[in-house]
Amino acid sequence: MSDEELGMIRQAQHGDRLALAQLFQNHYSFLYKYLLKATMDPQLAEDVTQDTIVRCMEKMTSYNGSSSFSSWMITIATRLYIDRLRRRSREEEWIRREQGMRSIRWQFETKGEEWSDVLDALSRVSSPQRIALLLKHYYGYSYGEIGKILGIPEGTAKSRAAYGLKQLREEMKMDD
Amino acid sequence: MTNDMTGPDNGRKPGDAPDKEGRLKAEEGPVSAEIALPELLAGLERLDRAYDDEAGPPPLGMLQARLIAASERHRRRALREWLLFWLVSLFILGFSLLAITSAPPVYWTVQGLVPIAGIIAAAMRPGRKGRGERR
Repeated sequence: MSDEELGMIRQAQHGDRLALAQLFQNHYSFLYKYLLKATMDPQLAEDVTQDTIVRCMEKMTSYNGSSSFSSWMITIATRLYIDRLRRRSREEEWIRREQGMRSIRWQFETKGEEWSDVLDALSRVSSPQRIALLLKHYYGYSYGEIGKILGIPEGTAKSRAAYGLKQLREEMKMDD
Repeated sequence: MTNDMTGPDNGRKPGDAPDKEGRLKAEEGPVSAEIALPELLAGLERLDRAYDDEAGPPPLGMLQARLIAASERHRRRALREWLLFWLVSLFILGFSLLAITSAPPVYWTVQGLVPIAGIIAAAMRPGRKGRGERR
């Protein structure tokens, strides 16, 4: 963590709202992109990003620097997303996933990006496995760190990532 | 966890290709040699690129205004909860004092009923949980 960021965190913890806003602004993009991949739904990613910022503000004094600030933010974001998932029925989840994927496809077309079927397959991987898979293989966290982020034992994090990858392969095979 | 600016705490950055030669083979068995991971990483990088504009942070002033509004909401909610807590506490305390001074039998009946109700509720809890799991 840079000295500048450390200074900003200290100021924010002492109630400096400008430092707090600056800190969130610096991490906004990382947070939104993480949630976009975790949820595969741009609208939901945006909503959870807003909720995360508010929750981080409320819990700012409890941040102790034992992990990077961005890791702390995505820990809170992941738990907020999981809470939302628990409140939803399977049907609602399916509808949201379809809407999310349509929106992402439309964005790809607008930006002239080539569509990747792996994203379709990823959206069908169940959320806990998808998050573990992302954290491990895209963000490069260790299983211990993933366990801390998700609030689960290291072994469970490992099996979720492995099962997520297996599920992804099966979905890709089905697409073929 | 080590301390870096963004992303994983082990110094790797989002999108870094995983160590297929070592870690994946060792941890996930021979099936991991399939092509799913490189494809996945490429797809996710494309997704990041497609949302570069949307992921841009809001202006500092707007963010600050949102934080002030959220902080005000939080303060009001905390005040409401605090008031409710004291109101309920005072009501229970007042009722207990009134009962013990003017109608001791009522007070002792309530004192006796509360633990019994608690025991019944505790006894019924596993049954409810069990039914919920079967559903």
